[in-house]
Amino acid sequence: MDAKFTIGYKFCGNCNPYLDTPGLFRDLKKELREEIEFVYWENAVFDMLLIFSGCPVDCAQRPEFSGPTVVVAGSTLNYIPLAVKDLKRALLQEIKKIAAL
Amino acid sequence: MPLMTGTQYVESLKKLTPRVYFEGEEIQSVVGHPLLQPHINSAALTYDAAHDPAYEDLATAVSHLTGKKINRFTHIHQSQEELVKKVKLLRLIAQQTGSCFQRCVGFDALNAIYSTTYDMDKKLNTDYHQRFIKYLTSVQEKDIMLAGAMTDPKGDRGLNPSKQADPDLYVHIVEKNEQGIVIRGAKAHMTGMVNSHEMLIMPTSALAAEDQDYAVSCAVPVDAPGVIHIFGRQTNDKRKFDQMDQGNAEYGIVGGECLTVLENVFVPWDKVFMCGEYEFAGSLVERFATLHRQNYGGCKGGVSDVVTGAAAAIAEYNGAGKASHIRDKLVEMMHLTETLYCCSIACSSEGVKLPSGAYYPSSLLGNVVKQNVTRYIYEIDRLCQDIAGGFIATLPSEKDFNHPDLGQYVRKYFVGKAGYSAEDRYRMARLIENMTGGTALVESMHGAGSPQAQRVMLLRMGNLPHKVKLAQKLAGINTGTAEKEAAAGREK
Repeated sequence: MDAKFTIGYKFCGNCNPYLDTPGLFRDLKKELREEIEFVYWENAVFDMLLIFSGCPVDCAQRPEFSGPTVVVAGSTLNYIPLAVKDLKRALLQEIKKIAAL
Repeated sequence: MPLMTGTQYVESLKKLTPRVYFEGEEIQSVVGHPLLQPHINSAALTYDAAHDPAYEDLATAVSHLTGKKINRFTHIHQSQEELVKKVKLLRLIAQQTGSCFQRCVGFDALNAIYSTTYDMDKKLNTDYHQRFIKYLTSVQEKDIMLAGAMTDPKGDRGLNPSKQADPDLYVHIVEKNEQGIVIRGAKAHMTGMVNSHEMLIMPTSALAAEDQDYAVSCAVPVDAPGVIHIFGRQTNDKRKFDQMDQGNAEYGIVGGECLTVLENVFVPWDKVFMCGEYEFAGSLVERFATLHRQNYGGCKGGVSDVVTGAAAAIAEYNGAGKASHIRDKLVEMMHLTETLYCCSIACSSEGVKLPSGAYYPSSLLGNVVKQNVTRYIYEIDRLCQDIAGGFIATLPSEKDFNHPDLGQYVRKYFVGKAGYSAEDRYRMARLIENMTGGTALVESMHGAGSPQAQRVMLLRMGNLPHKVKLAQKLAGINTGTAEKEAAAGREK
């Protein structure tokens, strides 16, 4: 059986969030639980890095990683502004594209 | 191993035996006492945040001493970015607690003593810095909470410490021997002292040669022999024995302050970081003051976020949420809050690297932060009270709210908009009442230094002569030989 595609995730510190990033992450895990394994970034090996920043300042410190990175920063996906209601769907699409699902 | 949880922190407090008094009675156990538990809960959040993935980026750092992950409250700032993260961390925790969580005072003391001991050793060939690094490594490893202990009672403010009628009005060294020193005096307004593990003593002002016995900085356990804590009266403190009437029942209001008396307290040499080097007292004080003033746009920003949210909520519960004047007042509250936050971010972003390698916020802008806080919190809270209405000051007690016979009247006559219960309205009113009055305001005024202290620093650092020259130049005023010669040179 092929190993699942692994995504390392990291949050900013959520000092004054405009987006409920933990909530978004919970929804994402639920939707992708069959196909994707999510691991906390620290001391982990992963295929893709997912950064959740609660606002567009996007101050989450990046770990060293040379693979594909997807960034949610406030209501933006990879720095493209989106309506909040469209964010989850766009994020799912982006992840599936990178993971070739 | 670094990084205690909140539960482990609380358990660690149970192992201490500080002598704490309130209203003449000794408090047998700090943990679990209604007067103190809300402050413990607030401080515990600084520990739990380090374990929450949602907050870990701000709540932890990598120690420059050991390379290990540590709680940011035990860290020495290594970059401007880390100064900014400190402010963001404070806003984050303040949003969760709505109150002071106390640990920043010791955090700032660590950073101030770190850089000052470095400077002292360079000039005086002492060995305080390495001694302090050993202590700091232990603090990081054990993840202990430190109370920053600077403010002396001061007595007659017009006299130097050594000229006071009572020499104990400033903490001073009374004895030195082979094992260590003995200190005597008291420290006032000690935030979070009774639920800390140790205190970091610092002088409270610049000192002259005759005051050298007052130039003392050292680490003392909160339960060391000779240490007594007399907990302060604060507005609505007896409400901590209630529930709903407390407003913020879990985290309280302000940090919980005490008078800490030091009756001939012995300090071993390995915990002494200044002993008579009076010429560095002023530097230590200024560095601590700047580091502490830097914070207030973060912590009071976060508290003001809660106050603003409470104002919006009560307006809605009152049925006035859509009124344009209400919206305008909420805008003003947010504007003032973000102005305070702007100031803290600015003073962090303009931070400088000190000779020790530690980063230090802009002293000028740090004083701007605090000066603004001494005014804007009053206005933010005033607007909140304006929006909430006078009933926050006249509500019957929770005993009456919950009374089997009287409760029906309280619920009937304090209901607001349909869809919101009278209890919701009551609870939000109590939160506002407690957060916006009394001690909370005084703390914003005087915490980290009174308004005049900032104005003294602003005059000193405002670079007024340069500004005068700018105006003179634009007005076409030649003010001296150099300018005339330069002008003559250009004419040739």
